[in-house]
Amino acid sequence: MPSRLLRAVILLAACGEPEAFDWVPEGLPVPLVPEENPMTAAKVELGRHLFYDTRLSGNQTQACATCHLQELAFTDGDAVSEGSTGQHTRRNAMALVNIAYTTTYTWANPVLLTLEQQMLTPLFGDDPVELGLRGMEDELIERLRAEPRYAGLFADAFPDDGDPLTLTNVTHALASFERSLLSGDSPYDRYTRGDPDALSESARRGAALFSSERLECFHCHAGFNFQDSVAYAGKPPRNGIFHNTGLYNIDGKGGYPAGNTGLHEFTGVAADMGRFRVPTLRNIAVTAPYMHDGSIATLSEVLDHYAAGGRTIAAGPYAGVGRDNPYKSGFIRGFELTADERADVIAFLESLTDEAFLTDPALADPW
Amino acid sequence: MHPLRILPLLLLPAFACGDEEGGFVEEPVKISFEARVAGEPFKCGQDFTGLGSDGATGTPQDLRFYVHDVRLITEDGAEHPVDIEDDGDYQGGGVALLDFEDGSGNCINGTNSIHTTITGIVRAAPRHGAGANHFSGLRFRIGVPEDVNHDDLTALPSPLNDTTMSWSWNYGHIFFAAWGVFGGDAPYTAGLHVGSIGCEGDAMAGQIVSCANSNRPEIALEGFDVDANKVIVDWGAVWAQLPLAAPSADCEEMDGETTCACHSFGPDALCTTLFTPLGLDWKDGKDTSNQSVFRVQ
Repeated sequence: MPSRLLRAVILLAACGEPEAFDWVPEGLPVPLVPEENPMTAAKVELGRHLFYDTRLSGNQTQACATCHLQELAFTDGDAVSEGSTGQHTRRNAMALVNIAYTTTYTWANPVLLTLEQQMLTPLFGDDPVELGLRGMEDELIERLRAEPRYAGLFADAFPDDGDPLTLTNVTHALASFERSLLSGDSPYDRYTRGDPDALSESARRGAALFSSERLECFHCHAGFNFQDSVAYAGKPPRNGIFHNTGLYNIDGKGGYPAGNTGLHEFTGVAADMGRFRVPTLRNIAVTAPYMHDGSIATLSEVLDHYAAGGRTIAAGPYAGVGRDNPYKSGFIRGFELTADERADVIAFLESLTDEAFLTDPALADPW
Repeated sequence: MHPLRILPLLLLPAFACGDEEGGFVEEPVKISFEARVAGEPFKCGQDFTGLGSDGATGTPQDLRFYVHDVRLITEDGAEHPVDIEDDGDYQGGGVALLDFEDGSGNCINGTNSIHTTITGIVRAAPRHGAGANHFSGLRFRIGVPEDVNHDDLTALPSPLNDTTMSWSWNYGHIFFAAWGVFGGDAPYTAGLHVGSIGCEGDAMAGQIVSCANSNRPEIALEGFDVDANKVIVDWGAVWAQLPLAAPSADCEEMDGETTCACHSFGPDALCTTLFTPLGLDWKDGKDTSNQSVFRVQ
C-alpha cells in the first residue's frame, strides 16, 4: 500500500527512532501485545485513571479497583466478590499479576484471549452483575467527558483520533494498564538473579520440594510465572490448558457444584468437568482465599488438598471424595509432607511476594 | 431480436433501480414482525395466563433476537436474498436486531425503543405492475453470522455493538433472548439465551476457530406475502413445554433470587425444553425444521 508506506516514511522523517516505552522490568520476558493496541506510557496512565474510577460502574459505586486491590496483588480478599448491585460472582477475583503473559483469561474460559475482550464481562455482564454498565455505554462516555482530567488523558493516549472518547479506547487503555502490572522483583527473583542472601535456607529447601517429582507442583505451576499457559516474545501461546485438581466429587462421577463446572461449561464435554486454568503463584501469599471459588482459606490448607491427592468434603451439599474424581489431573497423586517440609514450601511461596509491586505508586489510585 | 422484445429491458431503469440481468430488479422491501403471547399482543408489564405446560401466569422480561440471511421465496421456489438496510441503529453489518421489549414493567434489562420490521432490498422480478411477481414464502436465520459473531464488540457497527445483547464471557452475541417472571407470590425468573457454544479459539491468530454447536435456527415460513402478511413471534410458545407454576429442579438460587435459565450450555433438560420450540436440537445445535415460535399472520 503506497499510502501506508508514505506515512511510515513521514513518521520516520519526523521522529527518527520510534519512542521506546520501556515497561518490562528486568528479568521478565517481553509480553505479546495485540497489534492494534501497542503499549504507550500515555495509554497506561489513562488506563490507571479508568481502573480506579467509579464512573465505570452503572450506579457509580465500584471501580475495577474495588475487587482488585493493589496491596492484595489486585485481588479482594473475599471468597467471591460482591458486584455493584449486591450480586455475587461465582468465582474468586483473580490476581492481576503478570496477566500480560496469560493466554486465556478468567478461570476457565477458552475463548477470552485478550484483556480487551475479557473486561467486557465485568463491565457489561449481567449474570452476575459486576460493574453493571450493560446498555449504558453512551452514558459512560458522557460521564467521562464531564471529568476535566480525561480530555487531556484521552488526547495524549490516542493522538490520532478526532474524538478519542470511545468505548474501544476505554478498553484499550484499561488493557494497557493491566498489561503494565508486572511483578518480577520478589526475593525469589533476586535470588535467581544472583543474590544468595535473598532467600532463606527454608525457602530454598521449599523451592527444591516445589520442583520435586514427589510434590509435582512445578508441572502445572511451570516456568518464570509459575503457570503453564503463558506466552511471550519467542514463546507462542498454547491454549486449552485446564486442569481438574480433585477439589470436588459431588456425585462420585466427578461432579463439581452447578454453575462452577469450569471448562465443561464451554465445551459440554464430560471430561472437562472441573477443569480450571492454573493461576500464577507470584504474590500468592497475599491473595487468600484460594482456588477458583475461594473455598480454601490458607496456603497450608491448599497443601493439605494436594497432599491428599484431592479434597474430601465429609458432609453437606458438596460432600464427596475429590481424590477419586475420574477427571483429575494425573499430577495430583498426593504426597506426604513433614511439618518442617510444609514450613519450607510455604516459605518458598512467601518468597514470591514482591513488596515493590504491591506498593508501587505508579500502579496506585491517581485520583 | 424483435425490437419490441428489448423494450421492457430498456425501460426498467426508469421505474426500478439496480441491474436488469435475468429480468431482476432491486426493490425496497419491508418485512413486518409482531410479538404475541398466544392470541394477545405481547406487552411488557402485563400478566399473561395459560403459559407453560401447566397453564401458569407470568409477565415478560425480554424478547429480542438477531436475524440474518433473510430470503423471500417466489412461487417457483427460488430464494431471493434480502440485503438488510443499514440504519445505523437496529440494522447494520448484515443483521437486524428485532426488539419487542420497551423497557417498561419487568423489562428492566432492555431498552425503551423497539424495532419490529426489517427493511432491505430484494433482488427479484418486479412485484408491482403488469406481470408482477409474488413472494409466497420467507426464510431467515436467527443469530449473528459466525464471521462477525466473535469480533471486538466495541469496534462492530450497530446493532452488533449492543452490550445488552453481548455474551461477553462467551465472546459472542446472544442470538435470541426470551425471559419472563413467573411463580406468582414467589416470583422467579426463567429465561433463554441462545448463542453458539463449544467454541474454541486460537490465541496466536487472535480468532475463534469454530463453535461445535452453531445454534442458528433457520425459520421457514410458507404462505408469506411480504406486502400483505406479517410474521408473528410468540413469546408464550417459547415456554410451551416447561412447567412454570413453580421453579423446576434445574433452577439455581443465588443471593436469594431463583433463576431457571438456559444459557445454551445447559442444564440438559431445561435447554432441550426451551430449544425445541425454536426448531433447534440442543444436543448438536442443528435445525429440526420443526419450530413453533414463528407463524404467518
